[in-house]
Formats: sequence, C-alpha cells, structure tokens
Amino acid sequence: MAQDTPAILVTDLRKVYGDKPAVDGLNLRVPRGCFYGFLGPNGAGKTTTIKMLMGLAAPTSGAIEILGRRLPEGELEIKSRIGLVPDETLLFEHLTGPEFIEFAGRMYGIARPVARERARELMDLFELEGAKGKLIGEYSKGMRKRVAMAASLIHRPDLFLMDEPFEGVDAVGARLMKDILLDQVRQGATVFLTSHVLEVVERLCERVAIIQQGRIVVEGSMSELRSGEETLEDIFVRVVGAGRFSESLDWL
Amino acid sequence: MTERAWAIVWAQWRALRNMSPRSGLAGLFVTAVGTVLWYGTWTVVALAVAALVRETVDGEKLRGLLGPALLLAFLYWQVIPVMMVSAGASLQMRRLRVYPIPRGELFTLEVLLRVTTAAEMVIVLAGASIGLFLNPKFSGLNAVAFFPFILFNLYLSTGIRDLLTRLLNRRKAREIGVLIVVLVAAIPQVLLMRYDLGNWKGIGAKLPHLAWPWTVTSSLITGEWNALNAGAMVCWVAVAYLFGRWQFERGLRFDEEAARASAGKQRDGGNWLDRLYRLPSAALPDPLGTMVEKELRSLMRSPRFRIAFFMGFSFGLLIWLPAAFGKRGGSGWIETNFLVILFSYSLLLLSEVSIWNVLGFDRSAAQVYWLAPVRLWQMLVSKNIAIALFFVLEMAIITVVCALLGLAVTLKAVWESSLVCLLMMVFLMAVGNLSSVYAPRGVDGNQTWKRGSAGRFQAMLLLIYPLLLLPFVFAYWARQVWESDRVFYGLIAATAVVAVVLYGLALEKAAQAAGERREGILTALARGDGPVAA
Repeated sequence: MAQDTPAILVTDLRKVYGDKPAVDGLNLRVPRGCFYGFLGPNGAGKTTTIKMLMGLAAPTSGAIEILGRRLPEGELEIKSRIGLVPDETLLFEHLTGPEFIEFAGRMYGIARPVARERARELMDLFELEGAKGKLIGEYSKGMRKRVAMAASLIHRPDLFLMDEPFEGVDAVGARLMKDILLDQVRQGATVFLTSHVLEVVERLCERVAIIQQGRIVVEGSMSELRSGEETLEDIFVRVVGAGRFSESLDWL
Repeated sequence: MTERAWAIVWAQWRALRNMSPRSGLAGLFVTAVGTVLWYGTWTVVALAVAALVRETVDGEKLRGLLGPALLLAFLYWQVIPVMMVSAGASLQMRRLRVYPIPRGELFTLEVLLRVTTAAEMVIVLAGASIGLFLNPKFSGLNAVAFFPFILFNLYLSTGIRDLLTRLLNRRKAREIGVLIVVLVAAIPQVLLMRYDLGNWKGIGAKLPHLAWPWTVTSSLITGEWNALNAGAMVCWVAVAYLFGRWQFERGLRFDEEAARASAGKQRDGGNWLDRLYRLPSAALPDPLGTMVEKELRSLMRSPRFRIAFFMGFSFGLLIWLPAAFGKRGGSGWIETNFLVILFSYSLLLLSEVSIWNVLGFDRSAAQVYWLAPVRLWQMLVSKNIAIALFFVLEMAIITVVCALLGLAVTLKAVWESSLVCLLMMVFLMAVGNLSSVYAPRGVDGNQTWKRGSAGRFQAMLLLIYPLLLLPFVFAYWARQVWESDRVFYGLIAATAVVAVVLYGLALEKAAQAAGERREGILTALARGDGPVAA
C-alpha cells in the first residue's frame, strides 16, 4: 500500500438522521504519522464522523478512504489496521480487564498465548495491575478509558481512532496515555482524536479541525491557527461562538 | 470454527462465569430450579415422543403422526419468540462490528445461537430420533432427516429475527409492523383452533399435500428417500439460508440511530398526550406525582415497553379470540371468562418489562432516587402506580375491541375480570418490588426484543405464576361447585385483604433492602452484557 496516501481521506461526507444532517459535506485529509485533533461543540457531528470512520455507521453519501483503502470495500483490512478507543459502551462489562484485552487481541487474529501475554503486559503498562481481577463494570470511568486504550494497542495498529480518550482520566493516567500515543506517532502511527480538553489537544496535536453543524469551519496546523496571542480555546470560542450567560434568571 | 469464533465463545463463557458468583445464591437457586423444571418437562415430552415413535411400526401412521408434530415444532420455533417478544440469545453486533471478523463467521455464530430460541424443540426432536433408533421397522439412520429440518428452522429464525429487529427499530413502522407480524403469526393458531383438536392428527390430512418441510421430513424419516423429497428439502434449506443471510447482511448495515430518527419529531410538550402525562401530578402530591409522571413519559418512550403494551391488546386478542368465540358455540369456562384470560396475558407481558425489574429501564440514572430527598418506598410506589395506570388503559382497550368484535362483553364480566386481574397485579407487584431490589438488571429500553430466551422466561413463570394464581383459581372453582357468586366474591375479598397486606409488607422490606443494597443495585443496573446477549 502506498505510504504517500493520507491516513484518512474523507470527501463530501454526509450523514442525515431523519431530515436533519448530522454531518453535512465534510472534507478531511489526515496525513500519515500525524497527531490530529478533531474538535467541535456538543452535537456538531464529531461522534457521528468517528463512527462512520470506524465502520459503525454507514454514510448517507460521500467517500471514506482509510490507509489507502476505501470503505466499505476494504472494511476487513482497514479494521485490522486501526486501533479504536470508542465510547465506553463498546466494552464488555462482565469481563475483567485482562480478559477483555485478550479477547480484543484474538479478534484481531493474534494467537491466544500471545494475546494473553500482551494483555498482561498492557495491564502493567497502563498501571492497571491492581485491577486485574475486577470486572470492567466495576472500573471507574478513567480505568475504562485506560483499558480501552490498552486493547486498541494490542495489534500494533497504524491508525488510532479515539473518541474522547481522556474523558474522566486523572492527571497521572492522562500523562501516561499521552506519552504512549506520542511514542506511537514517533514510530509512524497516526492518531485521530476528538476531545473537549483543548489544552491537551493544543499540546499534542500537530493539526486540528473544528467542526460545527456537520461542516469543517477551521482546519490547519497548530502554528497556522495560533496567530498572535490566541490560545486554541480563544480560537474555538471565536469560531464556534460562545454562549451568553443569561442575566435574566433573577432566581439564580 | 475459526480462532475469532472461539474467542467469542471463550469471552461469553468467561462473562457468564464472572457473573455467576455475583448473582447471589438465591438467584442461582431460582434460575437452576426454573431451568430444571422447564427443560425437565420438555425431556419428559421428548421421552413420550420417543416411546410413541418406537411403537409406531406402520409407515403411514408414523407419517401422519410426525407431519403435524413437526408443523407444531416449526410453529413453536418461529411463532413463540414473536408471541413472547423474545429472540433468545444473540451476538452483540454493535460491539463486535468494530473488529475485523468476516461476515460469514458472524452469520454462522448467529445461526447457531438461534438454537436458544427453541432449545425445547431440539430436545423433542432428539427424543424422536431415539424412538426411531429403537423402532424395529425403520432404520435409525433416517433420523438424519431431522438435521435439515433443524437447519431450515435455524436459518429462517435468523432471518425473521433480523427482519423484525430492523422493522421494530423504525419508529413509525414499529407498531404497524408488529401488527402485521402478529396477524401472520396468529393465522396458524386461528386455523388450528378452527379444527377439532381432539382429532389433531387429522390436521396433516386436511392441509394441502404440498412438499412442506414438515411433510417432506416425515416422509424421509419413514424411509422415502427419493429425489423429489431430498430435492424439496434441499430447496427449503437453501431458501431459508438465502433469506437468513440476506436479512443478516441487511441487519449488519442497519443504522439504529438513523432509523429511530427517520420519523423523529420534536417533543414540544404542548400536545394532548403531554396533558395526559401531567394528570397524575394534579392528583398526587410531589414527589410522588412527579415520579409517576416521569414513569409514564419514559415508559411510553421506551420501544421495549410499547411493544409489550401493544402486544397485549393485539396478539393477545388474536391468539385467544378463537377460544373466546368457541369452536361450536359452546358456553365453557373460557367462552364466558375470556376477558380474564385476555387481561392476564397482557398483565404477563407488562409484568416482564415493568414489574419484575422496576429499575431496569432507569439503568445508572436510578441513582437519582438515592440522591434526591425522596423515600425509597415512594419510588417503588410511583413505579407501581404508573404501571397500574397503563394496565387499566390496556384493559379498557381490550374491552372496547372485544365489544366491537361482537363478543359478549357485559358490565359484570368487565368488573369481575378487572377486579381479579388488578388483584393479580397487586400480588405481582409485591413480588416484583422484592425481585427488583434483590435481582436488579439493567435493561435497554430501546431494545425491542427481549434478549433472554422464551424458555427461561416461562421457567420463572412456571414457579411464580401458579402460586399467585392459586387463590383466583380456587375462587372460580368454588363458584362452579357451589354455583354461588357470594362464595366467589367472598373468596376474592379475602384474597384482596391478603394481597394488600402482602403488598404492604413486601414494600416495606423492598424499601429497606433498597437502602441497604444501594451499591449492589447501582452496580448491577450499570452492567452490560458479554459478546452474546443472553
């Protein structure tokens, strides 16, 4: 597969729910080996987009190409080369952390003994060794994110698709996860993530896109976007439009 | 099976094993007794079938027996899941779709899981096979003909399940779809009731002599291995496979969110339904009023609940109507008390979704009841009031429909049936409040199908319902024997006292347990399933 093709290439992507477009003519090009931030206010279409990239939702129209292969034709090959940190509802809560990671590994075609060994190592790497016997249903939100990320690494993917990976994760866990992701990018992997934590995106991402009402309103490298004194938060608020605090609620 | 398929099986086994110690001994005991009773009963049926097949040496007679019996097995496999709004165990496609698993493997696994829809029929067919092996006239090897029959049912069941799942997820099409499906599913029942059941073996003779899967299988079993029969069975299996695979593929591409949104409309709160929701708040003090209102709103918006409610006065009527009309215009117990049966069936469906596990639809949001300044008995009572209101509405709809159909609906019958069924409901709520806090389970309100098998559900009913129905059966029996309404109403009054006392005691115990077990309850409600939802 040609390495000069982008990791993600999205053309005129649309997803319509009823008569309301959740994603409306989205165009996106994510270069390989890039740490890419995908931002937007609530309901802007971030999760719908990432679900379409993950193959969990079919686009109404438009084209998606991942790692040089088109969806849905190259679905199996694409899936075997991406690591997912979806929202936590995709975890199996009656399995323990190591069991889930081993299961994920075997789903990617890794032999059972190898998957088991890697699961043990990943539990240690993500500092979850103390929770080995606990069910995922009993994990805290941050621990669930850690175990999801551990499972996404087990088959050494070329592309990571992550929906709010740092949500609910404590500072130590977030640092750990960031370091691991940066290391993966240094090794040539691509990370595509959505996050509401703008400071994290600002520090990690080389390129950023901001989506609003299903369309990209800003896209560029961090250095292009941060002209002058503006932080990413300032840019985000300016582009998206800040909600005004209502002073009319006398009782508040 | 491939490595991935084994991994799914392994993960499901681990999930079940992990879950068991957390269910508690009482839960395990009830499940075990229920399962043993239910499948034990079917094993006895299978042994009886084995004895019958062993003794029948006349080929024509054996075909006459097996044809209708296999037709019943087919109906059980395909109709009972619809009747119980229960699809059996199935793969958690939403969670497995993210992995690179070939679709063929997923299809094979899903087909195998369809055994759980009617494991009872597999037991009975195993019995028939044993009987055939012991039969001195026919070769036991002919039992191999049951295999394509089972395969046909598995493929067809997979297709029907996927078709219904998609249909039921479309907001506008859902209720209409259910009505069409139940109409189709009820046709065999109506046809069967029209025949004299005392001569049920004759049904096969009365049906057109076509190469149906059951008639072909019965011919093969008796040794008629010719090209026509074999070809017909191959065709049936192929058609069922193509239908199952086609529906399965469509199911994989199906977008639930898009379907739900396809007929979505804004809830602005200004319509007539909204004013109805607000009625309890006008009659009851807060927080009880607001909690009942919340229950009414959320239950009506839950597809799972709506289907159960809808089935009560659609499918319930269809399956019991032939009995209510009577085969030869008789005036037996069923003909004169059909309203009690119709009301009880609707109560059975409602109880499964909203009495046995009152916190199920709330899932993690149930923690609000422990955080807000409300008493836990108020929470349980509010849920009971909401479901009682729905049940009264359901009984009213059934009554109106019956009256429109020209059935003998008298005021006395309506009053008596309502009274009896409301008392049944009080008993169910007493037990249900306890089971809700001792064995809570998170339920997906958007999941139209019940994921557990119909057999398990019936196993639980097998234990609890006879006990709860005993006083009512006794009251009807007493009226029959003494031919006195006074005796009947006296016994019903006594039952009412017991029901109210039992409800009060159970409510107190349940509220206390809810306070003590809050952590366990919330953890259980927040939990999901393994790779296979069972």
